[in-house]
Amino acid sequence: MNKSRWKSIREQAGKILARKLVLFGLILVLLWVLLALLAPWIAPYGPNEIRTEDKLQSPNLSHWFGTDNFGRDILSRILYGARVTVWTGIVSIGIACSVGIPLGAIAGFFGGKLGNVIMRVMDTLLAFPSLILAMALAASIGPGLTGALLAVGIVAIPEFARLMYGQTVVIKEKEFIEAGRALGVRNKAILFKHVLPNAFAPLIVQITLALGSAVLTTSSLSFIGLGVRPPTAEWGAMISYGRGYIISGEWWMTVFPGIAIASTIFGFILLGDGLRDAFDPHGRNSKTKFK
Amino acid sequence: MLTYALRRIAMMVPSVIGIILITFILTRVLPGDPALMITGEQALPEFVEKVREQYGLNDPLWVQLWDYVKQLAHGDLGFAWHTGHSVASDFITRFPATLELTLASMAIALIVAIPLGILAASRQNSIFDHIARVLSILGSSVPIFWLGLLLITMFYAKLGWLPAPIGRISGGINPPTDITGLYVLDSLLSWDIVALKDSLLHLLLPALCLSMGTMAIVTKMIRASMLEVIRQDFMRTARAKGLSERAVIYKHGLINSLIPTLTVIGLQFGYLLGGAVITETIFVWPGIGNYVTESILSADYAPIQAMTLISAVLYGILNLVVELLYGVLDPRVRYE
Repeated sequence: MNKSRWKSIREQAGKILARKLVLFGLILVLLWVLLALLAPWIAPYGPNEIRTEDKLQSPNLSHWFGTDNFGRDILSRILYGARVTVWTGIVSIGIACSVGIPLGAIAGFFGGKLGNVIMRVMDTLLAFPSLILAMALAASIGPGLTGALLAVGIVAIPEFARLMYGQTVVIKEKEFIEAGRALGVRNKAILFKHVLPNAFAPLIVQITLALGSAVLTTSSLSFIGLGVRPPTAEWGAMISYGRGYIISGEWWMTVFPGIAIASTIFGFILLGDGLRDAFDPHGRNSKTKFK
Repeated sequence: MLTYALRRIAMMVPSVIGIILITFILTRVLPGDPALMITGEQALPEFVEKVREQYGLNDPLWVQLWDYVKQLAHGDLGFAWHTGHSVASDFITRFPATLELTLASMAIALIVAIPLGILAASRQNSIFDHIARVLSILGSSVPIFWLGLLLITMFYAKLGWLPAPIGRISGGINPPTDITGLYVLDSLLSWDIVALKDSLLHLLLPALCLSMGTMAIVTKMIRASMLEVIRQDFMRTARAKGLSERAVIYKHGLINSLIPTLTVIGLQFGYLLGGAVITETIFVWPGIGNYVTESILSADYAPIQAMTLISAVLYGILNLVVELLYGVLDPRVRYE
C-alpha cells in the first residue's frame, strides 16, 4: 500500500473517531475484548470455583459483584463469560461472512440461474423470524455452544449475502470494472481486487451490527437453555440462574450479567451506526450541514 | 388492487415451498437424530430403531419429504407428546395469547415511538432528540429476558403494583367469554370489568418488555424519515401558504414519513414473534412462544418444527398486509 493511501485511510479513521459516540462505542467493545483476553489474570476467583460458605453474598469488598447460589464469584464469571461472548462473536460472524460474502458476490457477479438460485435460498432463510430460526437450528444441532455458534452464524448468512449481492451488482457495472475487463483482467482479480475492496465500508458496518445481534441471540439461546451447558460461565445462562433469586432480593446474580450484555451490544450499535453515518456521505451529516 | 393482492398471494406459494423445504432440512438433514430426539438419549437401541421405522426415518430422503408435504397438506402438524395433543390443536388454543401480546406490544411501541420520533426530528439536536437517540440505542441493546426480570422485580416484588407475573389472568378470576380469544378485547366486548382490569394488568409488563426493541427501531426510523421529509419543497410550500406548524408536521410530514416506516414495522413482526418466545417464557404467558420453549426443554421436536414453519408463514402474511397498506397510506402507490 502506498504512502498517500495510508495517509488518507489514517485521516478518515481520525475523522470517524472524532465523533464522540463512535469513540465511546469502540472503547466499550475494546474494553470487553481486553477483559476477555485478560480474564485468567485479572479475575479474582476461578469461574467455577464453588465456595458454599460464601453463597448468595451481596456485593462486598471480597466479591465486588456478589456471589451466586453456589458461592461462585459473579465478577469472575462475568469476566470469563466475556471470553465466551468474544469467541461466539468471532466464530459465528466468521461463519456468516465466509459463507455469505462469497455467495452474494458470486450471485451478483455471475448472475444467471446460479445467482437466482442462491438469492432465492437466501430470501427463504430471511423469511424466518431470526430468533426462531436460530432456536430451531440450535435445537436440531443439539445443545451446547457449538450448536448455538452454528445457529447464530447460519442465521446471519443471508444478510451478508444480500448486502454483498447488492454491492456487487452495482460495482460490476461501474466504468473502472469495464476498463479492467478491457485490459484483460480476470474475473477472479476483478472480484478480489476491485469489487471486494469497494464493498468494504458497508461490510464493516454490517459486521459490527451483526456482532451486536450475535451477542444478543447467543445469550437469548443460553437463557432458554439452548446455548452453553452448565457450568460454563456465559452471561445469558448466568441470568437464567439468577432468575430464581431476583424476586427474593438477590438481584446481583441477574443485574450484573445483564449490564455486561447490554453494554457490549450498546458498544457495537454505537460503533456500527457511527461508521454507517461516516461512510455514507448522503447520510445524516450532510443534512445537518444543510440545516 | 385486488388483482395485485391476489398475485402477491400467489407469489407466496414458492416462498412457502421454500419454507417447507428448509424446515424439512432442519430436522432431517442436519446432524442430530430425530429418532433419538423422540425417544430421548437414554433409550434402548431397539426402541430407537422401532421409532425410526414408525416415523419412516429409514426411507430415502425424498420419500420422507413427500410424506412430510402430504402430512402438511392434511393440516397435520405432528404430535406433541409433552402436551399429549396434536400440534395443530395446541396451536389453536395458544395462538390468541401470542396474538394479544404481539398486538399490544406493537401498539405500545407505536404510541411511544411516533410522537418521540416526530419530536426528535422537528427539534433536531434538542434535548428530546438526544433522549430519543439514546433510548433508541438502549432499546436495541437491552436483552428482553433481562428487562423482563427487572420489571417483574420492580413492579411486582418491590412495589406490589401488579399481580403475580404468571399467565394472562389471576387464578381466582374467570376469563371473559371467549369471542376473539384476546382477553382484553373479550372482556371489553362482554363488559366484564373485573376481567378487563386484571387481564390488562397482566398484559402490561410483558407487552412493555416485548415492545422495547420495536419502539427503538421505529423511533429511529420515524426520526430519520421525518428529517428527510422536513427538508422537502412541499413542506416549505405548506408553511408558506400559512398552515400552522402542527398541520405542517402532522398532515404533511408524518404521513410522508410513515411510508418508509411501514416497511420497518412489517419486518418488526418477525422480531416480535421471536421476542415473544423469550417474553412468554419469563411471564409464563400461555402462548406459542412459551410452547416452543417447553418443547425445547422437553426435546419434543415436532412442535418446534411446526412453530418454525408457522411463524415464517405468518411473518410472510403480515409483511404482505403491510405492503398492501402502502396503497391506503399513499395514493401515489400504484399496484401493477
